[in-house]
Amino acid sequence: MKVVFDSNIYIHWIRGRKYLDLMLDVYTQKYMSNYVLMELWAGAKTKQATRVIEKLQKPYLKAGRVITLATDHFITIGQILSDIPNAQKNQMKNAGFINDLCIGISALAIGAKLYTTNKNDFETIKSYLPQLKVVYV
Amino acid sequence: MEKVYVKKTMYINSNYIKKALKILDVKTEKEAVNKALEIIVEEDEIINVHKEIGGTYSIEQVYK
Repeated sequence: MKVVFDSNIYIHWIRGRKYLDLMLDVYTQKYMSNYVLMELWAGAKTKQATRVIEKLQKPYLKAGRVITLATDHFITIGQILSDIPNAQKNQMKNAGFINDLCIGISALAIGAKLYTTNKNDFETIKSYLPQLKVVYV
Repeated sequence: MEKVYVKKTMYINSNYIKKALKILDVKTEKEAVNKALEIIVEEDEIINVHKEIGGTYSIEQVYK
């Protein structure tokens, strides 16, 4: 089973070894969205953190397990953003929400299950991408 | 890592091989076995790195 973790899962793991059962599960195929990689790098503000992210990305890159989006995916993302009603525009203007939408599309693109702690954003995203499989932890 | 192929003669569960051809979307049994092994090794490398970096307390959460 293919799985994608939101950046919050990696952050909890790096900080405090939370979600051990997910991170060390030998029966899943772990993929990483390049948006997750970007978010992790954005939080790497020390030399130690830089080394951690360099280590983390290495086996994913080597195995071709970093998901990159194609033009068609960005068209879908734009169409979803266009459909979001005015009442939710504030959420849409949040960079984190846009990233989450891209992470959701990435998981969907490879048929992976997405694990996240961010129920708020992904409940909205799932209403536009009902086929996306999301697990809230 | 350079790919080095060796000939092996072994008994393999034929039901699993048939299923693996579909799951892995490959045409030959050789491809299925090699792909399955590749996935296992890649996954092990990812898990080992996860083990190494877990609990190092060193990253900020910029995006919620």
